[in-house]
Amino acid sequence: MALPNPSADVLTPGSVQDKRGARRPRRWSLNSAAPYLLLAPSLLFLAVFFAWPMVQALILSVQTPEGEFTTQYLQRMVSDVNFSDAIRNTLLLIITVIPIQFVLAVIMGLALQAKPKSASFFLYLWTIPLGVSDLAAGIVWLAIFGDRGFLNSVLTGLGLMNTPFAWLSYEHPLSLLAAVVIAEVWRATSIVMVIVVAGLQLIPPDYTEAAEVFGATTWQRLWHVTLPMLRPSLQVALILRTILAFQVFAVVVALAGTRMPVLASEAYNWYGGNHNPNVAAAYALLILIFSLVTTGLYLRALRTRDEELGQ
Amino acid sequence: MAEIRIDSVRKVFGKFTALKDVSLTIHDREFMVLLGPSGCGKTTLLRCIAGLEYPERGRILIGGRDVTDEPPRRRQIAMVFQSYAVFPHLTVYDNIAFGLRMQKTPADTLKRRVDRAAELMQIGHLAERYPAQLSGGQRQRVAVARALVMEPAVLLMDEPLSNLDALLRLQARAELKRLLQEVQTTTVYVTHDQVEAMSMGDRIAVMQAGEIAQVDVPTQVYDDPMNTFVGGFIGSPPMNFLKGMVQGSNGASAITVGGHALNVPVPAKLTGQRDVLLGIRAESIEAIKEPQPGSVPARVLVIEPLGSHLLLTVQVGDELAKVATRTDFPVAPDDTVYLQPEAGKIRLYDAQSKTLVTRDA
Amino acid sequence: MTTAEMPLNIEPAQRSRRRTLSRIGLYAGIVVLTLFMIVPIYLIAVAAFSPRDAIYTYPKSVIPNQFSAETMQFFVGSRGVLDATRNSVIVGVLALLLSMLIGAPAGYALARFIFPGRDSFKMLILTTRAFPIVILSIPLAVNFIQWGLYDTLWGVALAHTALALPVTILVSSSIFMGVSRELEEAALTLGCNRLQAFMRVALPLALPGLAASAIFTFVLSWNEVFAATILTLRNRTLPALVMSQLNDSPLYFRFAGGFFLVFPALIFIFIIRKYLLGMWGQVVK
Repeated sequence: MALPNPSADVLTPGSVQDKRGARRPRRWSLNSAAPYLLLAPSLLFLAVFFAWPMVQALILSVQTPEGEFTTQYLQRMVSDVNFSDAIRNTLLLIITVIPIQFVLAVIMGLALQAKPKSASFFLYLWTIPLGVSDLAAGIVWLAIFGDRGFLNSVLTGLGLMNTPFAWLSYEHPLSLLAAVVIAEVWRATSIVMVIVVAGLQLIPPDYTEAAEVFGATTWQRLWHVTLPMLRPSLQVALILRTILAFQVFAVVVALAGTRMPVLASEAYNWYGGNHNPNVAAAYALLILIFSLVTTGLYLRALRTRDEELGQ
Repeated sequence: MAEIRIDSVRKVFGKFTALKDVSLTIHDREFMVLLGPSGCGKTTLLRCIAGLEYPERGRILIGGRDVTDEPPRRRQIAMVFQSYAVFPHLTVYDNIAFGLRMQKTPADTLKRRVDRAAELMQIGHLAERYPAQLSGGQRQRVAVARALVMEPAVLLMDEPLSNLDALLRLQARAELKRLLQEVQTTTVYVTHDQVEAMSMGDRIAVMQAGEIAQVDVPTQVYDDPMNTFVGGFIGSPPMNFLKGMVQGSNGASAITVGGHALNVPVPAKLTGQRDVLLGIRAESIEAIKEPQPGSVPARVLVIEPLGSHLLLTVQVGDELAKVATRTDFPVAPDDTVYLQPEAGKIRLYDAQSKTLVTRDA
Repeated sequence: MTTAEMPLNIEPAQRSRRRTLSRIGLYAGIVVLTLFMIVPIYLIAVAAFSPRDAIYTYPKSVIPNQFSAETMQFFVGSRGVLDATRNSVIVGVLALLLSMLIGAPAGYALARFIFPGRDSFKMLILTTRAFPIVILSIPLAVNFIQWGLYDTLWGVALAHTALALPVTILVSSSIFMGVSRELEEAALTLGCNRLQAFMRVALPLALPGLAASAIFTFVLSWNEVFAATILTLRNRTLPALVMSQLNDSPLYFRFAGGFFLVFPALIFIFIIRKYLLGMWGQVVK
């Protein structure tokens, strides 16, 4: 036979999933090799195209092309005129967008749980933004918020304004921010919603029914039964979403051009515009650090809650 | 020849020893039942015979050939799984034909054998259906047909009836037994249902905690359980075990229960004084209203009218026992009745090792 | 509010009226949310399909009075657009194939085997989700220049595969776990070796889920902007093209481009909608 004949490493029901004990020598090599062989390509690929670039990013930001260690790129990044704006804008977006998204996603998930008619139809419609690229999302909302966009058209048509309002101009930073927030909420809420719906489906109805029998109101049921059971899904969703949020890019560029720098757009400009991969790498590194720190903070905060709840 | 020999097989999963040191011989064309509670190792043993598990130690021989290192497809076995494992993406026909196709059986032979197997299991009319369109009972038949069509040397069945509802299970049990009697293949059948085991097996191997407690024909396992575990597992209700003592020896001795001496001859083997457990089945105890020499008083706690007889739960000393009486036996809760064991039905067990010492007569 | 918690002193008629009211409220809320999700897409379609000068008129009418494919035609005819679209398709297919060929076996290994390192590997995969594509792209660009992969479709495809691989592994792992082990065991007792059991039983049953995962990878690749823009110069993918010309291009170009990017996604999400919940559930775990 062409292939060796690895026997199935199958488990009988109820047996302990533990490190396996010693086995007969003849089958050991065949049996144990199979999973590693299957994993090897993935490991290799990720090592080359993921792990190594990560390390390189670190190196790039602190090493000149000649090979000497330097902080000049980091300094250049920090002293750049857009630096503090980029950080501020990115953080602002995160602080506004994510809470709105989560609340909205939970509302949407619960709405579907109430089993209205054609729930699956609505589910499909609500997940459409999932397939929309962030660039397209930015453009879509540009058509709405632009100077001659649909929002202004509608408002003028309703007689609520005479001259178009420049929502996206740099003179109105607040409305610009609001526009970006709305666009991001529109684009990315579906992701969280899908996770919420999946999490809700895992909750056995028995718990809420029991709570109902014992006299809990809808609010109480939501707060004390449903949300706590949703917590694991929400936790991971929160971490993932925040990490992605630190990389917000195309939506901002599409709506705000250069008027609203964020970390990712700065990285992009330093690489593509200024042809300076080192400072770009420095920005990338900053994003990574932010991501890791917030993840750590999340895990800390959520873990403390667990202890408080006596789990 | 499809005799199966299991030789000192040991199987370990991590820290858990599923089979300690199991040896068993299953004769050609025998229907052997592996019976025991969950976790006793019966399914593991079956899977070792199948080749889905490989033992750490020991050998397995099928038809005289050492197959211990062989994969399932080289062992001439066919297996029916507890979940039936009928392929959802294939029709009933293709399911049954699967094994034959793997063997590259020529088309006309294949069709003939598949049709015959389907007819045998009375699912011929379902040939073009998909498993999702079938009921549980029908899927079970597909699984059996798929195994039988292979005309294997050994047929392995892992609790094939336990997923059927109670009424269906009864019918299916009788059908399966008749079928397998016709087919005459060596069969190893795993179940936790002792009624199934008694009804179907030529011999039963009762397993406990990775070891075989007793291998014997059903009547023997029922009448002469080797230890209290077997006695308590087989039979419904389980065998009663009452604390007793043997005092004196050789004719001038008596077996006492709760201080009352039984009117039962003491076997010569028992000498001296020792603690024993008296094993006796509910149907082998007669309950009488008036005390007699050799009878033991007991207080009636619960009366369960089972239609064909009454099942009494009585208290003897500080122990409980089950006694069967005729339906019109006049008894009410809290009554005192007197228990008289049937001669020849008492089994004496060593109080420490719980193993059978001797019968009473 | 359910019947159980309504105060008992409410008349039955009032009670059912309250229930109807809350039901109406539910549907109203759903409609509002749906409009929020759908209207922007409708609007970009309107913008993309109005005549060029209509884009500059103000105020725009929400209900288009003229339907014209002029803008779209202009967009499609613009320099580089057709090529970019073709590139996006190629990159998407490459990424899909690569991540499936590399990732599905790993998913199978995770699903079927218990072996030392299994949990570590799973942890590793999950943590890759934490690393931004932004970080990845810049050193990759530097590497690709050295390796001659810069500005090639293969380069972008490899970057996208790296992005999609962890998800593919996790999703295919859960798909294979959904295929009962006993089915493959039954195949083993019927004359198959491991590979045959996989090909004849596990794979056919896993195929729908794997296909959904593959489509998802394609959508991921189709939409990806940052890496695609950084890693290409002349052989742009569609998002890269639109991105690089974003602030220099006329409005109609952007709108048409936006619609062009959105439209296939609509179709793909429709195709795989049944599997979406399962897949994202996996990502969370």
